[in-house]
Amino acid sequence: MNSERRRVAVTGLGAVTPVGSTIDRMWRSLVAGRSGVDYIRRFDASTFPTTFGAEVKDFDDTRLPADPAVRRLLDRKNSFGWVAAAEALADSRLLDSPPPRIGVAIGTESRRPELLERLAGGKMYSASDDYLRYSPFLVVGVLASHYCFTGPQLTVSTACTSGTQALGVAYEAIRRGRADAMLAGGCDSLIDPLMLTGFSLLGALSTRNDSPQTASRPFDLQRDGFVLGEGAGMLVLEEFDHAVARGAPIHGEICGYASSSNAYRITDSPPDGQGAYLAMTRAIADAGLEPGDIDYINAHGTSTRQNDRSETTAIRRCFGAYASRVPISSTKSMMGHLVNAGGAVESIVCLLTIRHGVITPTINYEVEDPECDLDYVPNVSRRQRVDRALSNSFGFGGINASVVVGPGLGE
Amino acid sequence: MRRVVVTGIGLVSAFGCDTETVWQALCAGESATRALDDIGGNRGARVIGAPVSNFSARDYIDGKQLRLMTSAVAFGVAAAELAARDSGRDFAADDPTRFGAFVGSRGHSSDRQDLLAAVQLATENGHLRLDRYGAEGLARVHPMWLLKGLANNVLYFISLKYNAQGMNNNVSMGGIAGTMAIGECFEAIRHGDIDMAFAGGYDSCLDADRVEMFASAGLFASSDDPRRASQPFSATRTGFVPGEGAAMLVMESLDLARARGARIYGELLGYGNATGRSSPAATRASAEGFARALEAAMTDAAGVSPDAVFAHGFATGEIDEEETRGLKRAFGAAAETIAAPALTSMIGYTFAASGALQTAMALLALRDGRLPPTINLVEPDPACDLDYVAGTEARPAALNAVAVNTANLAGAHAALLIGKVT
Repeated sequence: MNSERRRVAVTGLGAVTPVGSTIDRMWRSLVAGRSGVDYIRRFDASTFPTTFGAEVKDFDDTRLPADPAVRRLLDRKNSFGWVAAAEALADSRLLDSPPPRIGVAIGTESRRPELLERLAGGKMYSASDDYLRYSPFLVVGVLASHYCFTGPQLTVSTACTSGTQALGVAYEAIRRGRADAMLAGGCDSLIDPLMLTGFSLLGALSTRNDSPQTASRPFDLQRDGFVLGEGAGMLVLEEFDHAVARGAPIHGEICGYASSSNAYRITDSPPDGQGAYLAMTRAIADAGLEPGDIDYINAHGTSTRQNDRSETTAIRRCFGAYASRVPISSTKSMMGHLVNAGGAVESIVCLLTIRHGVITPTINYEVEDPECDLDYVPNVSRRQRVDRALSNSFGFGGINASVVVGPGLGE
Repeated sequence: MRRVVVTGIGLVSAFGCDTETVWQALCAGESATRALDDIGGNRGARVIGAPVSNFSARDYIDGKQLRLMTSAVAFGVAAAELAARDSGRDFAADDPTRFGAFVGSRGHSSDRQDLLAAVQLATENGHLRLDRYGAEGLARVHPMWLLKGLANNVLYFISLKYNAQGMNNNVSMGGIAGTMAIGECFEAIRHGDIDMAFAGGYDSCLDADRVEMFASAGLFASSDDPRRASQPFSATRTGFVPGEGAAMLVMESLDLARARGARIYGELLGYGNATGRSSPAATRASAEGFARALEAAMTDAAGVSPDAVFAHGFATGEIDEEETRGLKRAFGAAAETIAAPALTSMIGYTFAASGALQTAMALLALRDGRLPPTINLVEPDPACDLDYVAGTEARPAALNAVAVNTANLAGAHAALLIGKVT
């Protein structure tokens, strides 16, 4: 066995997103260019600087585990993760003929939505297992235990980059022979008073309170910040030959991955796009490809002034003259920013784009920004064959990651 | 695959920040655990802990940056600076895109002091009035609250300071995070993603929030004699002693280290990360998981077995038994001859820093051919019947390879195998 050259197939997909809580529902919304953004309903945000977000609306909690003890451990984001994982595993039929070493890698971090209320009440912890409930590694632990996975576990917490990085590490674990299959992805939930406070104070959020559906407008000249979202994306990655041998559904292949650091400012992206450029270039090289082989880029595209400009610069540096011809779109225009889950969901979107031959749009694109002058697939889906797609994620703290996916054809 | 070595060690610990001093204290069987009654917000409850000592963040970090760091983050950033100095490497001369950082992180943390003024303003009869909080309170929250608690803060500050632009990761896996950061770094260098990196972990279990959280879970040790409170593998153990600190390593390819004539502490030989079998409602470390991670590390090291193990030694009821059974399962009959000291007996449990601290000390054990003791092990638990180097004195030992054994609170395990460079 040449552990350096094992291929990694994607055999299962699952998603819980603000535009649909299954893969099919999400995909239909994205193709239709539907926004999942609206006024916040989960709590009274009417006096906050931003009053809207992209909430998950059709979540089916009957798909949560029956055991009340496990259920109590799962907070909102981990509930999303659990359900997306169940969808991906069912889709893959992996458990019908499991390989020996299955692992779990998830991008997430601990959230404390009730912290402000607890501080007001003066009682911070109420249950003896709170230390597990609030652990960033809880969800990988319970998923591994529930499905009797004996392989590696990993939680990555690099803010907006976590989901992509978890996917990348899972891909490497299989490629390098440390695991035979991995459940990989991200989950997060940010629509709570505390996160709304934190991001508002940094001036990162759109305040277009009179028109929530048009607030997330990546690459548009009138963009004013991102929109908080929530959800989960999970993928089953599997050693290619094992997937073929058991007749698994092959949704595609992870072909390349790289991470990088800006070594610049904590929230700002560098004007020359260096870190993003490095992640994209290295991921494409890792896949054994040239930039010209990439048919579609799912941008990080947050709808902040800086990110979209810096990402455009980085794409220009990486792709040269081809930059103006490669279609680029931002899923965040429709579902907002899923932070730790974002990269995982967006990689899923790339795989669906390849399978369906449809590029989903960047909605709310109205006015061209002279500094963002590429093809962002404005407002409506485009039927187009895509063989190789690149997904970008860039996060606070300057951490970047890119993943290249392909159709997963046999040799 | 390339060989990967350690050329720098930086520590922030309960025995201070000078690596040789820390090592000597551990070899002398000193205890850093003591009674603490000054943990903010803990309403005067007495906790036995092992706080970082002889550390001044300002010696390593400029004041402006320090304002964006919690104290635990400062441990991590300072440890990296100490490792950088120790390595003697001139990082400015290196290709920044082939220089990475891998951090075992405590995860997102929230400094409640930064929220209190806003909450008080909007509290009525013990409940938060959200309308008032949004209108008047929110603006009183420290504007950098979110960034101060950022889970990947240490990774950010290290990347910035040393211009490390290459492959990276920020692992938030609790007690195995530091082990995994080193393991993932090992993988990245040996497969050629990067040539060198910082790798390690940092954590603190001694802030008000963590203390309340674990106190409510009943996991802390209690004792009339705080210096003897941490008793891994002992029949009289009562729980873990919360600790804090950081350990960072400079890791690079053997070729690079040799080319510059660097002092080499030791070599990474194997890395294993695995899960045992337990029920989801009671996820915890298990014999099966300990064994699997160690076996994976030995397989990764092409069959090398360790001469000693730096044990997890969590010091709570069943986990020490599980570890003992795990070691027997991994090593078979040889387990009886493999010494397994627990640093936790002296410096408490340091969560995401623990695996990195164990690794750093394992490297010095290889260098000096001696093992630190497990202190406070006077009454052995019959179910924990291996050689833990009980006593208060270091033991000379012929060591060619040493394992690091760790687990987290949700049943994940990670192990490393480290050897002398030959």
